[in-house]
Amino acid sequence: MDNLAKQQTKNFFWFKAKFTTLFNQWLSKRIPPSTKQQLSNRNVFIFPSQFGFVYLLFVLILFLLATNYQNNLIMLLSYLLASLFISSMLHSFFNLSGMALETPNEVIGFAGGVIYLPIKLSSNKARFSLSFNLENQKNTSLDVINKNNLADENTEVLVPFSANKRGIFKVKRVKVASEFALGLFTCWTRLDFACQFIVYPQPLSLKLPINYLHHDDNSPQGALINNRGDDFYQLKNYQQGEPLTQVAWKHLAKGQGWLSKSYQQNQAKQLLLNLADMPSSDLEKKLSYLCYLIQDLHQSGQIFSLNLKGVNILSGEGKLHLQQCLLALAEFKQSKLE
Amino acid sequence: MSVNNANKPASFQASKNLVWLLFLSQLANFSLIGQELSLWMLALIGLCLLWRLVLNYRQLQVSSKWLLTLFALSGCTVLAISAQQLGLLLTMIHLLCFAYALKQLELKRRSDFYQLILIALFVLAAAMIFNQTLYFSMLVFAVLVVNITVLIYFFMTNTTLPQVFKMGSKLVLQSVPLAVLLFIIFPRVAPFWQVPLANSAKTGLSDEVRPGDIASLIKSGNLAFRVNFTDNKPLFNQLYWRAIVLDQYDGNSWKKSTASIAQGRAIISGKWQFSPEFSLQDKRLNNTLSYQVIAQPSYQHWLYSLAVPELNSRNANNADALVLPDFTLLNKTAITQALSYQANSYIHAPMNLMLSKYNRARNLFYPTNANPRLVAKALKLRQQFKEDNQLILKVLKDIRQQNYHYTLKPPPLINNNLDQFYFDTKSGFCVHYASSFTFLMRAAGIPARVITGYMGGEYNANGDYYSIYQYDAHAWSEVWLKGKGWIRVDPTAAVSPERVDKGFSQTLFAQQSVLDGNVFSLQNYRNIKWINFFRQQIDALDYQWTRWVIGYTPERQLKLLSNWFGDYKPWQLAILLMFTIGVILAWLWWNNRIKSHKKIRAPWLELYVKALSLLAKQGIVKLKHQSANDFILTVLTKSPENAHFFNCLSENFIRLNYRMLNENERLSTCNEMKENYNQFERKLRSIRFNKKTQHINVEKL
Repeated sequence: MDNLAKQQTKNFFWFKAKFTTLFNQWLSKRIPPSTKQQLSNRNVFIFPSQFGFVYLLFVLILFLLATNYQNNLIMLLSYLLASLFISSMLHSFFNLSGMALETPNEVIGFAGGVIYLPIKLSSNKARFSLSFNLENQKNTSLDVINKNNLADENTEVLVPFSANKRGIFKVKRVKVASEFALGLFTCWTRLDFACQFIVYPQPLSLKLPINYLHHDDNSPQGALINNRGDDFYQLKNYQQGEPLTQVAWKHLAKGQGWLSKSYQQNQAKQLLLNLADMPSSDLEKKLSYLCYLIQDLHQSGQIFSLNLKGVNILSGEGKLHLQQCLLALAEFKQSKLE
Repeated sequence: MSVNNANKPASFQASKNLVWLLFLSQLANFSLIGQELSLWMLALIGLCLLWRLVLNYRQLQVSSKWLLTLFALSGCTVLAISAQQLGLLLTMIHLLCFAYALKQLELKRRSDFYQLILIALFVLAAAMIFNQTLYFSMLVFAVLVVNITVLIYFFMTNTTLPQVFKMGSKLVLQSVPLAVLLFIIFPRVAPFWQVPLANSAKTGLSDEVRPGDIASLIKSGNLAFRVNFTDNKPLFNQLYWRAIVLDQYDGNSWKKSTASIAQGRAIISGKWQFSPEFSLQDKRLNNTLSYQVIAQPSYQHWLYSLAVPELNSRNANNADALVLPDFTLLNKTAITQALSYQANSYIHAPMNLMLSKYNRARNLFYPTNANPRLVAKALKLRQQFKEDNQLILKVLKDIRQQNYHYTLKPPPLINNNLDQFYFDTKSGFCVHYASSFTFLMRAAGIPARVITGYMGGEYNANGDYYSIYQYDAHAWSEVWLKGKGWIRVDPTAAVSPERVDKGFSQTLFAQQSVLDGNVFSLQNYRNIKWINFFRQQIDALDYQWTRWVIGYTPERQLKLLSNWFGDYKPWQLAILLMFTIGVILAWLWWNNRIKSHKKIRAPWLELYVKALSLLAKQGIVKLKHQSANDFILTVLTKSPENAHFFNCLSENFIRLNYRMLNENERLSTCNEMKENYNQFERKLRSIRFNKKTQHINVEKL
């Protein structure tokens, strides 16, 4: 008996899984991925809501009442309400149909936070009561979109995605739904925007960063501004935590305030961020530290290179370099470590 | 834009405007049904609405629970107590309205809101059980729009109220054609089960009449029924609408005798059938009046007919109507909504040529101690005149010549004493005269009875029908003469011939409107010509409404449909239907195709393309590989006079299309470009015009 029951549940799940995959296949044929989506009868679904069914029942009751009372006016009312059902269906459908939606190719964010997928909406008429959401995520609702004919003057919706893990994720289908008109119908679509979430590790701050910096032997020549070096470079405001040896005592004595000296080091050796140097045994934590350091170094305008086991990024600087490094962190896979 | 949790059950958060609109819609709904509710229920509803008002001011959705429970319990208790008195239908309606009033006090979830709207629609439907006139229906329609608007408003937050109202009316109006189509062709079914009928106060005539009774009817300007004659129209003084025959006098009031009531019951139950036969002479066309009556709800059984009626058996509407042995019509069920029936009346057909002994006795009976002076007078007359005919004429002559008055405000009689009226006060209206006359006849040994019904009617030329109002209520006598049967004698005609020839005179109307007391009734202003014309127009509309919409019965539907489609076979109909649906679907598909192919263009692109097409008409065509900048040069060489404006236009277009601009810049540039386009167009036109005039000049030369 027990075995049979197990078998049955197994069968059930198998059927369910099979059905889901079949459905998804059909869906991806029906609504192929694209960053630009135009809503039409190809990709908009519509079905009576719960209230819709109750309403129909109500109309039926009204019809029975009219029949039993032989009352033509109540009958007329019931017919009017029935045809209101039909016209609200059309309004419900055209509330979505004809709208164009567009997203970028990729959206960047950090793990542990909420990433918003921006969707640009363009519409040739006013649309009401829309809600947007990603699967298992909070939804965003939009009360009204007014007619916008200008190509750039779009309404933008931000659909939240709470990123728990780093990585590169395909954005799942976005459900756009509306119960507009009378709430009798739910009209919805599930759009695949061919868009990626690039989720960087959650940055974890690391004190005394210098301990984890190594000089890179391979990198080309460059200047490194440091507080320990040969040539005096500049004076800057002293910040708490900097070694007291850096304090420009002469200036302090002159009453010019707390300043600290920076030195420029003309080095062949550049900064290297190494995964293995990070002070944790947990890979994710290590990546988080690296994420913090990379941003920190980028902010202070330093040149650095990154060495993840198996992935090396040559030293560089600037926004592109930063993105390259962060992308490497997001993409990094355990298997390469082993 | 707001972010909600997707998993939370749909909570109800109404905007401030929505809450007020909801309140407004409730007031409208209650005002439509308020007339049917008892005072204490109205008071309870008023309290609930007041409570809502307080909640609205405090911007709360839900009121305290125990107070609500207390309220509900007390309301239900009172309802249970008064249920007996109200009757089933009204109790249900009270309950519905009470639920509607209470529900609005706890709008927690979305479903509460939905329920409230559905109850509101039900209240509207219930209101139509009681009133079905055109104006009321129009009111109901307007209130329906308000209710739908409330529902839409929930899905159109952050839009203006007029916008929502527009949307609501649009939605309802768009639904009307289909509703009308359904109304006309959707098959009707017979009632499935017996329903409780409205236990409303009976209106119109009653089956017991005392002198002075009809006065209360005369106060009312309400419609009693409408009649439409098919062929001949009778003269005004032939319009004696018989409703009830009262053949029993107890010294105080006239009643239907128990025997005739029993006969009526037997006929209703089908135990006995009364089917009078008419001779061919009676049925001759010029002696026949054929008419359709639409009786207004009176919550009674009486129907109205002229002379000797016969129900048109081919008309299925008449299924519930019957002819009684006293030649009045009766409906099996109480008339709770407008009822239409078709009848023929044979004006010269005799009524009961033979009178059974028992019937004769019944129609001669009067209590011995009643009205001794009248009895004495009757005996004296009897001695004077051997012929019944002459006796009757003598009495009528007396009434005409002596100092009798016809007035709607007669002095009161003690204990409905006919002696007092006939010999002392000498002023009264139809019932006084009919009662006294009938009594005199009985005392003189002539079988006589009192008939109540309506006399006359107002002809409406717009709709070719007569309207008979409650103030047309009338009473007259019938006497039985040997060889002639029952003959109508109207003593009122003797005292006030005008009343039976033309209807109410100005003075009578003046008396009537004072009695009526309804200042808003248009009836009171019938002597003002344009108001009267207006009133009759409205009335004609209402008549058509009652006739075609309220009176649209399954039989009529069948007839209409067989008129339209009767010649087709079912398979032909099926093909026709499928073809129609196919055409509609194809049209929809084609429409959608065209629409989806149309791209949304930016306005500047639109303008630029328009400008290009203008130039193309001049023979300057932009080639596909040419850039906008290149094309400016082409225009410059080919048509230098236009080049300036086109140049400006193109430059703005390039800026808008290819550069990143902020909002304000874009708007201003866009406007500038529109200006450019207008100038460009004007320039082109003026050039064309110049060329034309040049041509003309050349031709002239």
